[in-house]
Amino acid sequence: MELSGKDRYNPDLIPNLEASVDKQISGGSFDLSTNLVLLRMYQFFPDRTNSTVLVKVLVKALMQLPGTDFTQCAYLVPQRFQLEEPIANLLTLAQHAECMQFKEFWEVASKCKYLWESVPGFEQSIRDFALHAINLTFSQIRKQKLGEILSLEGGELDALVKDRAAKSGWKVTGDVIQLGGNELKSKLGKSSGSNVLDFAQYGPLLGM
Amino acid sequence: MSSMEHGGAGEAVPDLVKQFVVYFYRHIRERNIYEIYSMFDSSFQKLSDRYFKNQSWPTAESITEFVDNDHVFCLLYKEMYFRHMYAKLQPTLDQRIQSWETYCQLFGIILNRNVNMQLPNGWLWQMIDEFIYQFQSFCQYKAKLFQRTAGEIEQLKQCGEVWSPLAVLNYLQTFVDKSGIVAELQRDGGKSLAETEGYVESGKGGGSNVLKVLGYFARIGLLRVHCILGDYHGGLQAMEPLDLHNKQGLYTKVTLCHISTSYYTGFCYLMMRRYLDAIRVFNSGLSFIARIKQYHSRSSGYDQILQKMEQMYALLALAVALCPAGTKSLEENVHTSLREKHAEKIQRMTRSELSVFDELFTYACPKFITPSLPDYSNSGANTSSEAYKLQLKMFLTEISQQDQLPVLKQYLKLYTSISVSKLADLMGSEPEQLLTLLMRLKHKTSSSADTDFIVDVDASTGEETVQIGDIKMQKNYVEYYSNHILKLRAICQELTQPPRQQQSAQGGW
Repeated sequence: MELSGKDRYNPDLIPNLEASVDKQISGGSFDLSTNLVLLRMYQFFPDRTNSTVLVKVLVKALMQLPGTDFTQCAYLVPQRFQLEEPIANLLTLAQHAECMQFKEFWEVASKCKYLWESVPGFEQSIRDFALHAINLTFSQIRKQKLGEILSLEGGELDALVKDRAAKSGWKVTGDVIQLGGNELKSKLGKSSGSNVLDFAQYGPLLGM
Repeated sequence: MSSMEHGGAGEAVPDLVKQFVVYFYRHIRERNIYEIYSMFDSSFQKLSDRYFKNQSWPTAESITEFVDNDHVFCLLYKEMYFRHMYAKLQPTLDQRIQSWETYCQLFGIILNRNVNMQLPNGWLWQMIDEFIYQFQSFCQYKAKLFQRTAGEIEQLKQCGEVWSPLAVLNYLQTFVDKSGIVAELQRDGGKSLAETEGYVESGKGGGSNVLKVLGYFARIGLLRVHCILGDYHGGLQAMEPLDLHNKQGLYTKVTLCHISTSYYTGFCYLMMRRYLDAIRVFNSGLSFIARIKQYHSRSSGYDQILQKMEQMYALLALAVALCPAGTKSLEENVHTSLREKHAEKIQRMTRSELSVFDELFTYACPKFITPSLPDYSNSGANTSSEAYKLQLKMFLTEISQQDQLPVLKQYLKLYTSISVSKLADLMGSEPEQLLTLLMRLKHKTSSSADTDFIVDVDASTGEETVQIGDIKMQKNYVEYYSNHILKLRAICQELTQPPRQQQSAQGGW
């Protein structure tokens, strides 16, 4: 949603801002700036807070991991909302995700699926985030570990591995998956920072 | 007692005050920027310290006869009158409301009529700064319902627009819009503005810097208001397209503005976990203060400069503890002072001591506000620290998520390759937990890139191993020594030169 400077401080636009959240959900996009304007309006007028919309915004923000969108939204949610369900649950989920405790994450998530009923792709986004972290950390991983992190097993897990094998060059050897496309490994061992002097720096040192 | 009661034209005005307003008014009419600023910054303080330590200045009504009943001048005087009252006395609710009305009248004139005045930029900055300060102060006043009388609460309920967050934000945004400053900054990146500093040459028959410069400063005001609301993204957004990399920008010409900009921008980055950016901004702010500090020891803002400096060092310590790789971008003098002030605390923070993070954050954070109306039905309520507690809690949550990571990093530095089970033993955890911890380390440091390792699994034995790259941070001795060689050379040169006095005595320079 395009907002001019003035629009950011106009409470009459609350309905438009709320409508924009639904548009983001159906269009599969996320607009942090617009959502923050809405949360700030709720912060100014707590009695005008629409908690359904508030939850939607936070769920969408959580889907932006590894971005910090969720935290940035939560800064604007008053404490008393944070202590109550369902926001408290979302904060717990965010905490587990940030800490890479995916086992615990999926446990909690299984109990509050209703929160993202109207937001398609929530679980997929979390899996994408987990895969992103896996790619940073592992060059190979046990298939069972992968399944645990993604909360996938059996056919679903096989399907994902097959898909990635085709797209990102994963290779399966027994129980171990070789994750392709990992450039970090080749960089290992090279030192960072250097004690090299630029040519231009020599002049002044020699008094020239 | 409200100012209206003891005010009025009958009040006796001390001669020195009379003289002060007469000259002040004349300088403003003559558009003498230098003299205006000197009277605003220095004379006003001196007179305040001498005659008005414990009482307010004479009311605007009582001085109006000495200044041709000039309406705009009286509003400017009133603005200073309330500024002094906020600094030295406890303003009552009536006075807070009157101060708001003064700003509304003054801003209304600046926004809607052509003001034919030139005011020093330093004053215009302090106008925006004070406006936000009084807003902040009003929010605190409102939040401490338990200190208010029943009458005050009744009056607060009627306040409506007075010091409301939206009204404050709208004033600032209106300055931005009406001044056309955005278009100008986009056109040339603020180059022409920096050259003229916004002043209009007097030869051209009038003209004014006031609206344009207020528009420019209002962006930094918006940054601050967003920041104390907890909207860090919005704060940085409101400042666009003001360019912090532009070392010549207008904001650099007004010391307090420059410092405020660095402080709030850096704080926003810190809360957005952009630690490297935060470190860069604090570094440039602090090295600026180190350069100019000595020239301001007599100015009215000196205490504020020192306070913001100490706060920025504390915030820098937080950022450096969270992202040690950032120290590389620190200038040497900033780095040295940081070590002198906070070396021990940084050590303790890298051992994940939450209490130190808490202490530094509490000392250095801005004064957060709760923008919503208080619950008037609960007259014993005190919600004044609610906003601060929320931001602190969120910050400490982030810190606690990084618990154990510094220790893990230390171990990784010792090996080039270590099995996961052995490393888990060293960390006193289970291998599965260790994998979680390794993933967390990657996630939390991915923006600063100061860890370099990868976990692999031997397909035949199933053994998991951490392969570690060289993550040792090499000290950059080259830069250190070359800087010192240059310094030494400069000193030697100065010593071998003939003394300066002799030269100037010969009629040189």
